[in-house]
This record gives sequence, C-alpha cells and structure tokens, in this order.
Amino acid sequence: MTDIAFLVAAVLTLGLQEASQDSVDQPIREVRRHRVGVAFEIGAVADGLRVARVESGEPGEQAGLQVGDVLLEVEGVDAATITQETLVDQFSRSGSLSVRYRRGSEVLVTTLEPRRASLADREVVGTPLEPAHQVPVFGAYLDGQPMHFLLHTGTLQSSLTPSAFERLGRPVPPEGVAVDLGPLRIGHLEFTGRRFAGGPPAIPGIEYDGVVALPDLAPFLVQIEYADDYLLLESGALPPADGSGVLDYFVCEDTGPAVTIDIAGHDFDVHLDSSYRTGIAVGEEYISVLPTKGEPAVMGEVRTPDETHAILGAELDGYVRIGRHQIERPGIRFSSAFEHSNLGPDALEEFTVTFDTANRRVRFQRRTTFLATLLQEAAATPSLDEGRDALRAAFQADRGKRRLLMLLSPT
Amino acid sequence: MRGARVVAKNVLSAIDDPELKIYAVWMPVLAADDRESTVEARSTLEDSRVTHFWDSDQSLGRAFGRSLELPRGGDLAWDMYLVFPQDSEWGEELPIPSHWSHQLGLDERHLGDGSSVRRAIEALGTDPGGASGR
Repeated sequence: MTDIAFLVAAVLTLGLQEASQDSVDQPIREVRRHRVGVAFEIGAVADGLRVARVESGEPGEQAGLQVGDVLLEVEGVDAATITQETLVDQFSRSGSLSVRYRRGSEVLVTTLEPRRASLADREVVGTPLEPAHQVPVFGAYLDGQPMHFLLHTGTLQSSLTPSAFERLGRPVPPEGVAVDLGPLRIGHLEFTGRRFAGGPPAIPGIEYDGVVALPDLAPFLVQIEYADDYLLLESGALPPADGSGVLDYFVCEDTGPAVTIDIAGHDFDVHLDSSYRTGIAVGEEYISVLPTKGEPAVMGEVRTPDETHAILGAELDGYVRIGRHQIERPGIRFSSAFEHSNLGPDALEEFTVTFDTANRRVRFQRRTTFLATLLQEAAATPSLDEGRDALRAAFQADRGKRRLLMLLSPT
Repeated sequence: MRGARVVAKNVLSAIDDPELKIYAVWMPVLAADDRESTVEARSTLEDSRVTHFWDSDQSLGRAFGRSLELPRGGDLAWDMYLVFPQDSEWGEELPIPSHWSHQLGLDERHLGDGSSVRRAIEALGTDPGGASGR
C-alpha cells in the first residue's frame, strides 16, 4: 500500500461533446510528501475553488474548512487562476500556509499546516461524477487519451464506442472480441490489461466514450456517492455482510451484482445496474402483486426490433427495504421489456453504494439518516433523541439548572 | 470532535455539579461524518449529565444560527457552545444564551475555548435562581 497525499478533484464542467484534454485532465492530483485532506472542485464557482470534501482529522478540517467553502487565495496567489501544479506544490510542502476563503458572503482567513503523509494512509482516488447525467459518468484516460466513461455496474465487460476506437487509431474488434488498448488511468491509479469490446449500449441523452465494468476496477473498493456525485476508489475490503448495511451480492450470468431486497413485503432479486436510470424496475407481471397508489400510468416505451413495450409507472404504496434502510413510497416502473428487476440510481440518490468485488459485498449508506438509524439500534450506548421537540422538552424539564448546549459535528 | 474533547476536558472534568445539564446536538457537517466517527465522538462525552441529540437535517443548527445572528452571513451554528442560565425558557422562540462561543472563523468577539465556556457556566453560580440571560 502506498501513502497518499491530498486530493484535488477537478470537476468536469464541460459538456461531453466539448470534451477536451483540459476537461478530463488530472481529475485527481496526488502528492506523496504532505497532505491537507481537502478536495476541491475546479470550475464550480468563478472566484475560486469550492471545497468538495474535508477529510476527518486532517489539516483542512483542523483549519476550519468546510464543504462548500470557496478557496480564494493560497499564500497570496489567486485560487481562481492558480494552476493545479502550483496548488499541488503549495499544499504538498511543509510549513504553514495562509489561506483566504469565502463562506457564503463572508471572507475568512485561516492557516493550513500540511502534515507529512504516512504509510498508514489508504491508497485512494476520488473523482467527481457528472451530475447532469444521473448515471455515474467520470473522466479518465485510456492509452493517454482523455475520455468519458460510464461506470457500468450492470455488465462484466468494458467497452468503447466506435468513435473512441477511431480516436485511439484502433479498429473496432469483431463482436465477441475484447482487446487491450493500453493503460486505463483514473487519477494516479493505472489499470493495465483491461480489455475493451466494441459498441457499448446507448443510453438516450447520454454521450460517453465507453463503459468501464466493475470488475475492471478491482482490487479497489468502488464507492459511488450518488448524493454527492462523487466516485471514490480505495484499497481495503468491506466488513462481512451483516444483512444491515453490508450485503453479500451474487452475479447472474454476464451481468453485474444483484441483491435481495424487500419490496412491499415481497423478496425481489434486483440487479444494481448503474446504467438503468429508472430507480426501481420490475416486470409487468408484478403490477398485480405490488400495491401502488393509483393505477400505473404509461411513462414511456421501449422499442425492440420486433415490438414496442410500454413502461408503466406509479408510486409504490409501501416501502422498499435494502438491508436496514427503508425507502418510503418510491416510484416504481413496470414493463415486459425489463429482463430482470433493477435498483438504479434514481432510487439511490440519497445513498453511497460501495462495491467490494473481491468479496462480492456491497454496502449501502444513507447520507443523512444512517447515523441516527445506527445509534437508535445501539442499545448499549446512551439514548439519542431526535430533533427539536425532544431537545426543547429536555430543556424545559431542566429549568432551574445551568444548561450547556453544544452544536457539534462528529468528526 | 475537537469540540467534544474540549468540553470533556474543560467542563465535564472541571465542574462536578451534578445539576449541570449538557445537551450534545450532533449534526452531519463534514464529509467524514459517518457512523464510526459519531460513536467515537459520543464516547468522548460519557457523562450522565450529557444527553445526545441528532440533528439529521441541520434544522436545529440553522435555527440557532439564525437566532444568534451569526456574523458575515453565516447560517449554520456548529462547533458552538451555548450557555443558558437557570431561568431560561424555551417557549415559542428559541432561548437566548447568556454566553455563546465557537471555534470557527466567524468573529473574534465570540471566539472561545473550553476555558471560556467553563467560566461562563461558573459565572451563573449554582443558585437555581441564578443570573438570567434574557
């Protein structure tokens, strides 16, 4: 395991059709000497670099930086025009750095003290996803060429479009044949020996150069942060499945991971295909099985060479339970065109989903409520009361006593 | 979590008044606010006088942020300590503290540390009819 330094994430702000070297260039910069534990989005705001992530216990957090802050100056250098090389150079050196930043409308000053990276740091790389697409699309390099890839968790085979093969100066391989096109580089991680087939399936409204299948990112944990539009690859393994947050998954034929979830009291084996924008999709035969609020209405159609299949949609009159997580009354789609049930990005927009391909495990974490859920379950720890009413009741009950209220972040 | 440690050291250990009540309101602010970090953070405040609350959507943090009229447009109160006197009440409006301080870069006037929180609590005395902040 190698040590890491701080991460600088470049948001891919250009449209896919305008993809250029610059738009994909260095989605992650990595320096091994010192680190500040902060990732920045480049191009998100005009006057600087927006803080996208603040790692717990790292110098950025200790300096008071928060997600959403906008870095304005580093050692007097305008962050809006600073080059990534300069930024990396500044943050990777030792000693204190004077940093000017904006929080809302106020401008603040703090001091960052990069710490020396240690071998205990995990190998990790993060890159923003392109939020407009609803499916996980990210920038990377293939054989030195900047490209946009869909992280496709519903296939076991990576593939490229014909135009991408052309850009690489390589012929499209015959159907059923996959070829090694050179190293795939995501941030500082380089994957070799990955093989690409021709012609990924088209997803209406989304243009990309190819798809990367989940197994091709092994041995790393692949973490899709749907809530934050972020993709994280890191070394390590998920803990054993507990049926709560971590589930074992199985793989069917040539598709990706699938798990068993509870839809309104019925067990369904659902695929976790990230290319299916539709949230929860099941076969048309389940219309009579699953309760919906009102009759399912036509939401669209799927055309095959032989026939057209309607897609019917409705609000589920019930819940979907994924391990310990429960989604109340989600939208659900029915169609005879669906070859299998699927749990797609639309249903997971509040979640971070982490795949451990080595151990065939997947972890679901809800962004805002998973802490409360865990702590309510933890009977051995002091009770955790939810919200304003509980606090107000306690405050009033303790009238006549001195009271200290602390508003805290857990990290 | 730094704030929790500060209070553990300067308030829990230094003031042994069993009648002192402490409310720890946890909220997700930083990217790394995950389950492990919350369990660990709570363990730093293991004291029977502490009651923990979870502000999942930051509504409490923002309500107090507005109530305190944070400077420079700040609207989220976190890493913040509010001291309330014995006769303070929470009615239709949020109670107003006799002292509040923070460890963020908001303004110097309210910049505080564990010692200032302890002094603010001690200044109230232990009389149930102690000084009012409102």
